[in-house]
Amino acid sequence: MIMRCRQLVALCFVTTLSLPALAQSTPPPPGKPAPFEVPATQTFTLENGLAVTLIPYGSIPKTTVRLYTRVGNVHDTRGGLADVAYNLISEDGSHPKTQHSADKAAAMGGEVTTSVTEAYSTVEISVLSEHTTKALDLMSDLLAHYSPTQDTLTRVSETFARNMSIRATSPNGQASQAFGKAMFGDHPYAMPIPSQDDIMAITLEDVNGLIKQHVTANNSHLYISGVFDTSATQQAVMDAFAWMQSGTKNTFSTPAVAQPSQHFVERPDAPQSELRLGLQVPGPEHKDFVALDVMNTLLGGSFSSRITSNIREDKGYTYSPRSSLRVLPNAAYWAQGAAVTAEHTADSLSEIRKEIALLQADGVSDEELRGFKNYMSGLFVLRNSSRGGVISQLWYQELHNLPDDRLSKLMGMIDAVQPADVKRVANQYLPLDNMIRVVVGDPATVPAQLEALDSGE
Amino acid sequence: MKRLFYALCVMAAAIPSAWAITAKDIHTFTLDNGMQIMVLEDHSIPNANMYLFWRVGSRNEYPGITGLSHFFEHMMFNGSKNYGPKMFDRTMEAAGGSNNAYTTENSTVYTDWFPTEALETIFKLEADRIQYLDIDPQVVESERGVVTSERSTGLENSNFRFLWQEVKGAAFRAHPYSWPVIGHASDIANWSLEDLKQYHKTYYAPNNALVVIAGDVKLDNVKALAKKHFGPIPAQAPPREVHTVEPQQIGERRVYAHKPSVSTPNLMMAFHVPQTQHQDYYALAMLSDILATGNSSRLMRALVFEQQVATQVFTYFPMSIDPNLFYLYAVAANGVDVNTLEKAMISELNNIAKNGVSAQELEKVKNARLVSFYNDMSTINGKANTLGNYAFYFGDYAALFDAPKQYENVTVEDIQRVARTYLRKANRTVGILGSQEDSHETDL
Repeated sequence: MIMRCRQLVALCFVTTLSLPALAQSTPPPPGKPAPFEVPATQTFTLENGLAVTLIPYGSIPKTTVRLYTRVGNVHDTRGGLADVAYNLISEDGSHPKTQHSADKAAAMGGEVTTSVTEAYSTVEISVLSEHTTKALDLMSDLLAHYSPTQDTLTRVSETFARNMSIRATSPNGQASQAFGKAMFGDHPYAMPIPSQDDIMAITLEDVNGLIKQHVTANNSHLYISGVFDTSATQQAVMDAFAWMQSGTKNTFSTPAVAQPSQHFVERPDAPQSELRLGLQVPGPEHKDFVALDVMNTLLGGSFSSRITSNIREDKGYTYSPRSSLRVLPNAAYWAQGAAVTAEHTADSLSEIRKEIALLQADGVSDEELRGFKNYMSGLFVLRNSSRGGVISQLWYQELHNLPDDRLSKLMGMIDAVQPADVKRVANQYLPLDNMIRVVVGDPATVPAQLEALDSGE
Repeated sequence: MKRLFYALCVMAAAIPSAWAITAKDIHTFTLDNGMQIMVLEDHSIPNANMYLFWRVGSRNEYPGITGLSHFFEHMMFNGSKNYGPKMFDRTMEAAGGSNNAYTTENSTVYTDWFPTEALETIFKLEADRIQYLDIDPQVVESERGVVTSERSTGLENSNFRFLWQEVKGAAFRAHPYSWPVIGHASDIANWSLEDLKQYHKTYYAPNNALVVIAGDVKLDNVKALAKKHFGPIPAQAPPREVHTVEPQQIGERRVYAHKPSVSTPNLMMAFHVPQTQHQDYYALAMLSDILATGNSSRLMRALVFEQQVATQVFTYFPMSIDPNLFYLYAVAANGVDVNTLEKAMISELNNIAKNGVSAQELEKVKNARLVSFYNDMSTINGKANTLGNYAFYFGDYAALFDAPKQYENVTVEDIQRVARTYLRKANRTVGILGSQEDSHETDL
């Protein structure tokens, strides 16, 4: 199966540019977005400090249990430690209560899954509603009695090392690595891809230490979403997670301001060049963030965004251009990425810069802006239309210390963004001279294009 | 384990909620021009969606125009009489909606998600591109570049896709499933405008479509809008039937491919199996689960956890109009020879063929199938896609509501029988993807 673009719903973009003269008709005036109510939640805190949020949601008899913890790759004392430690959670350990966990989860109609990001990690089980309390017990057992064996550690580390070696040699991995280094320097947010040696050096002591130190009550938040018995679930949480040490909530350092720079990574004979162009911008706590988000959606973050229209639809240089706002605790950046045909590397960069400049100079009409705001409102409804989606939105709000009513106000905040706001933030936060540029491509053909581009030929 | 299945059935019967829909909740009608439309009212959120299943995929192509079905998936967004270039996306997004599309060997599917009040706008957009698609030469050239880029990205980033096209090409010698959905590079470069116009006229006719609308809509309103906007689109002569039947494979086939970035060898096995409407479909689907769905599955347990000869294992068993392939895929662990991995996989397959599976093992995958089924039906998008797929591949959406019973009826004997019938050496094609050419001193 081949999809037109698989990631669109997960993206938030913006574009700016003059509309083409080819349109045969004008779209109907966009209407107001439909009202949507964020599901009601109930939050309580255990004596040890673990925050728990219950979200009665939907009617399908399933429940999703997800534990977020503020531990991620920025806490790696060895490259890849958080990934390996979390991958081991769903593996059989030496303690009897951690054995046959796959069978136990399967018997409840579910599976234990984990994920690791720069700043936080998750453990999740989705089960049939009748097994909600058993799922809580299973998750608790896997963490309380975390006891991986050396054999399992070796196997999991080898698999992770292999995946990292693949990533390190992919065009996307090469570009991301160079871009992260340029954006964050020595700060852990640079996220260098760990080496095989680093990963294979991870010990049982390392993984046990990471789980014990960081998977604590004050550093975690448990979300339960779906159809479940509220009082029984509340009691089950109190019973299952009372063992957790209180611990402390991790904080995150702020990276230094990045300096503009240009980087070329050689990839001999590459038929396409992988591009990154971006810079640091304010995070979601800043008053301009929503306007930035709208600007991003208009500039490169949707099918009809300006950059996508230009380099994909008009020129045919690329299949999957996208811009995004990447948000981390105490840091955020805007970036445009694309894999473009090698012969049009400089052309693509030139067009991207033109689109940014055009938005800065001419701004956006109210009508064009209204369309993108409606699109974002529509996405907001979709993102909140599943058990997992609601949890993700609530965690985002908490991780970035946003007000409790942020979600319920967000559609109104998007609606309030005006053309002048978009033009202002484009000028204020996307100065072209401050951009970091990374190009991964064929050294035989691409550097000459870049030289000509930079010299203004 | 058995208890869980019955518990699910009881819940399905007892909860009259949005997810527990029945065949009676589905409304169908056919326009005079032959377009079939299915409607499911679901008022859980103020949104709706429209899925358009077109009976055209790579099986409808022939050498010279391979990949054209997928190319149309792109062209359909590039302008029509009343909505020029870029206006489809722009209009839909301005109405608060979004869209996507995908192409398979059998179908091309367009998906629109939108606030309910945008329903008529969506009808207008879809009707216009069905009836009045503008096949502009300049746009075609630009889109060739986009598809070429997509092809390069896919082959470079996905070892599975790289090996898949090699194995398909070897397993099928006659049937159009032989070529990749995205097409051959030379065909992408050389389609003519006449090819495109003819293809659109033939396959994007209303009598070649199945439309599913689910969400916060009213049946009467959908009917009225469908008649108003889709009704005037003229029907066309039915497309040529695909009558090629792949000759029976009478011996193992092997392909070896190489790509410098491959870190450890990738192994694919593909066995010819019947089409989705065949009585063995459900048993094969469950065999697929038993082999590689979840960490407690046979191949995961044996190859990844116990023998540690693989780091990744999965099966791929696509729904299909014609007899197709049942795929097994594995990535070798570090330092493991691909022959060792292949032997280990074959040993597991032989074990099932010889000794069968346990009743408990079968019940576990039945439970998982049902949970997955309910998951699919938990959102309006999932409902529209699932309904459409069952209607498309089984010929009747009612098959969807029969599926839980069909899965429950599968026995351990059925699993062993289909393993013996289809997972045979003479019926398989083996593909190996390594980092270097498979050469030996004695080779030319």
